[in-house]
Amino acid sequence: MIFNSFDFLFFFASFFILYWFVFVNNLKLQNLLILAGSYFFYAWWDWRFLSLLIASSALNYFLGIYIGKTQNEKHQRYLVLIGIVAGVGTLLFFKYFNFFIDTTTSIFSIFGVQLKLATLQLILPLGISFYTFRSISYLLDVESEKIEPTKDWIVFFSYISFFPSLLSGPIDRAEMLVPQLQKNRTFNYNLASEGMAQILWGLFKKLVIADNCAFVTQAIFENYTQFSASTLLLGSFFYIIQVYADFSGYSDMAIGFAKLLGFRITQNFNYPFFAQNIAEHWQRWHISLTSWMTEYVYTPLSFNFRSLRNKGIIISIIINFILVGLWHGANWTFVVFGLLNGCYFIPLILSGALNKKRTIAKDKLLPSIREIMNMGFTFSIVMLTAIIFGSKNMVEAFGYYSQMCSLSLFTIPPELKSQIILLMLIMLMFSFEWMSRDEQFGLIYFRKKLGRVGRWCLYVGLIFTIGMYMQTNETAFLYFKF
Amino acid sequence: MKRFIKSLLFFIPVVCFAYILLICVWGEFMPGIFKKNLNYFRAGSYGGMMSRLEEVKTVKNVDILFLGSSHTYRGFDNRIFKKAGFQTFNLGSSAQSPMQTLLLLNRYLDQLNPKTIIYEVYPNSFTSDGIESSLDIIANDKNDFGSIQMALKQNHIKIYNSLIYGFYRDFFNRNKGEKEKKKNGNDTYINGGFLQKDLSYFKHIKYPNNTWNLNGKQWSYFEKILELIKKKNINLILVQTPITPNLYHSFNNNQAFDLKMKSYGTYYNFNDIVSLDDSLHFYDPHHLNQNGVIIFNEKLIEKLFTIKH
Repeated sequence: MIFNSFDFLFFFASFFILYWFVFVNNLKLQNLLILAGSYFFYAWWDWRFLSLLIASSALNYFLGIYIGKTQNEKHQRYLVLIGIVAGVGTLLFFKYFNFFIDTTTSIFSIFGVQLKLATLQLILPLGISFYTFRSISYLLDVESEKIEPTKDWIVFFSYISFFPSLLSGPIDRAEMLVPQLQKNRTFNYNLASEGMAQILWGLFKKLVIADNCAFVTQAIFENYTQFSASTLLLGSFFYIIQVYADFSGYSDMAIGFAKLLGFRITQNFNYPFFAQNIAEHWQRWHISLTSWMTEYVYTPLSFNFRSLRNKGIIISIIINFILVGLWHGANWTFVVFGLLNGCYFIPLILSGALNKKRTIAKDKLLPSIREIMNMGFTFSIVMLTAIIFGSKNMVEAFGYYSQMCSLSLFTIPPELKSQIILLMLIMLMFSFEWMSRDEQFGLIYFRKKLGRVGRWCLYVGLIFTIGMYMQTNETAFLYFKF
Repeated sequence: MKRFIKSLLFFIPVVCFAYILLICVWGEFMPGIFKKNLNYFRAGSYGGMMSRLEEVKTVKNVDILFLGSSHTYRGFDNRIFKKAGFQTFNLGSSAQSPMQTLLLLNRYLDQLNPKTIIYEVYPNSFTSDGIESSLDIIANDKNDFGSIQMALKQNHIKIYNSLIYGFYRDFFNRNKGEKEKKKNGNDTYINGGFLQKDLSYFKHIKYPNNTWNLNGKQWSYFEKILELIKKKNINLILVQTPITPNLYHSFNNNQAFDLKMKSYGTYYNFNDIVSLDDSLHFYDPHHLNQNGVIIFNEKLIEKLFTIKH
């Protein structure tokens, strides 16, 4: 049941009616409906893993209560550790077990020892990376007394399994979502209509931009040896756009559906391609993950390495980014992807520009030449690094890069002509996002500027564009596999 | 909430109306490159369907009606059957799946009133999504309630868009006076529905081992077709037309398909009946060239006479 399906439309419409018309005056029942709806939504994918979600929620619920009860810091730390070991252990088992076995076997084979370790046919439970991180942040926040542990199990279980963000995030913190679950919700017209617009924008990004890009990139990545260097460059361009439009489109829809239910959840993307350096890019990309990693990995690490000064920051950032890479999956491509991204920070750290805040084209319609160059440079390194992210293994990634290093890089790719419409649609997406760059999503600027007729014309235009240009070969959301 | 529901109830019809209007304007004025999900192709496309559907309206009481995919309109030559004394009409269309066959039968069966129906069955047509064939019929035939039913069953944006545009074209008679050339590239439309390809040859290719998927969604429509034909008391012959022997033998469950077909009535698999060569009798992996058509049709006529006597 993906967001852009009729199944979900019927599910959400029924849920919405029950939520706002039947259970509106009873907070407990409304939360219970969220919980039941979330479990139904999850079970639709694979009911077998529902027990894992429930077990994880139950464990963390009780751990949270005990952490709150005990005054002994050592005990608190042990309880947090139990939660982390259980969560990360499950994650490691389902996501990284085979990777670990393969890597161990390869390492031993280098020394001439042939290990015969069996790998398992494991299915990755959907959303496990997202709800595990949610649980861990909850325990850590309770331990650091940032939040009070919730005693209402319905609220806690609903927080962990909140269906709009269950499968692909954003990874909401308890301090953001739990208080909203605890208080009565009244229907807010402006929030709901903004949610509808955000869902529409997400649909446009997913169905028109991401899926059409996927159609091109799949062919190029799978047969990269048969294409010219310039086509491969074009393929890497479409790939990074696909990843962005797919994931940010999903996030927009998730946030939009949450708004329809009266919730404000974490913004996950803040126009990362308008970033002027790699640090800013990562502050704008998958914000809920990067801020999680910054708070719970980078900050403690850099604190521990503070005596090493810049070296300490570099080590912390590189470890942090390797973990960010590994979070995406068990493959050396993700490790290298993380490592490279960490390395890109080194010049910024050494020049002292790491924490410099810059607002792009402030009070201006267009960016300056310098800003354009900065954006172009940042986009280029992100795009070229994404080739590793999109390759099946490092051999293919190297193959792709070496195929790109030829004189045909300076020719016009023959595939360009057939992709003119797609390029125009990508331009359209970025134009909207540029105008709304100070707001939460790409339609907000026009929503504010236009009157009702203008807004409706805009929505009709977008719906028509989706109908006319959506890719008809349905593709699953990229981040479901993470 | 009241305001939200009110806005939504007002917005939905506005969107529907505007969408329909935009589809018509887009279809009418925009060049093809901008019409990704609006596939309204008439003259010169999809194997002479425009001429076929124009002609079918003038034909009555035939001896044999041919139904099926491109194997049909490229495989059953009306002229050969005429020489043998059969009045025939070929209602095959590109990638026709049983869903579209049923639609065409509902539209034309009573008028054509055939004594015998020869229905070409190709394993892939039972797993086909039928999109191509639906678009073909929407663009080249007058649309009716059956078209809407078909679109709803297929639930595909290309079909919805093309159907909206098709209704607009029908309503304003925008297709009036359009004619399809008899000769289109290498194809020549022959009266009666056959499409003759200029003689060309294929080559011998080895195919990896393969298996037909026999669990397609289209079987229920196929059974409805058989029911309809039985109800009208029309003789039915199921025929698998020849494909290149190399391709045919690369599939390991041909017998399973044959058994399944035999359970439905008279069935001939011409891959086993005629001996053809990949290169000499085909122009691509699964379409006969004119040399192959002649051999195949003559053998079929022999079978028809055997049945008759």
